[in-house]
Amino acid sequence: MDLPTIIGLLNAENLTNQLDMSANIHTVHASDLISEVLASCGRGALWLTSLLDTQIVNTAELFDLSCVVFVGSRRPSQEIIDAALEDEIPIFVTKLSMFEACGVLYQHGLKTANRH
Amino acid sequence: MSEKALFTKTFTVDGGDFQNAGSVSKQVKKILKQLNIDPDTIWRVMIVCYEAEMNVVLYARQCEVTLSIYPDRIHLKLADEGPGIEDIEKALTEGFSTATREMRERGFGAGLGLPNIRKTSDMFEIESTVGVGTTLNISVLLPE
Repeated sequence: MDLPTIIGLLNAENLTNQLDMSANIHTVHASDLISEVLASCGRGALWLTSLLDTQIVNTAELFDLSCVVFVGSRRPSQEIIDAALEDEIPIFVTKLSMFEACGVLYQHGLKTANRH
Repeated sequence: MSEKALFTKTFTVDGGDFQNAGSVSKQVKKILKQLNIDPDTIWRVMIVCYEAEMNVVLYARQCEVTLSIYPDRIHLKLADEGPGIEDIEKALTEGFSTATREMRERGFGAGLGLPNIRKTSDMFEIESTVGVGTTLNISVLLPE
């Protein structure tokens, strides 16, 4: 599914308008644990999280994730937005909770990014 | 395994430096991309490199990281000065962690780090002396 469609489904706000939105996404990882992304998340996934830490962007960039959506209206700091722009990782914020965001994406056919 | 490194570079990681955490992994990724290493291998190297780098930031005082590229593998040596690991077998058990609350709030400390490094790499050696430090030697084989 293309990224603009996903962002529409989540009714999410784009915090990095300048970045490329052409990604095609098939898998989702939902977690607030960076260690879990490293241990179980495959490449190309959309990452749903409520964790606000600059390491989020580093992690997404290092592990080839497509983008990050902050759930529950958790708005990242300008420092995180700047890091995302520099590393070219599109980031978004949605009012939906983790549970609701997962439900919407699951219902529309996206799969788990768990590689095990 | 062939022994002559085609490329070697050394980096330093400072314990507790969250501002620059991940920067060595980023530099390593850039080098591997420039050398046209395949994306799957880079991704595996990133898992071991970032896990190990974050372990230094979270637990150690300082660490020298040496990246060596051989014709058949990518090797990382991390030699840190730090508290060392009391029980290596325990530290290699998934879920075992000595992380503080602050580390967990930052998304780390789930006790997945060292087990994940061992699982993802093709060669993994760990030596540790309590009160002195820990040395990791890790290799990821290049596809034939």
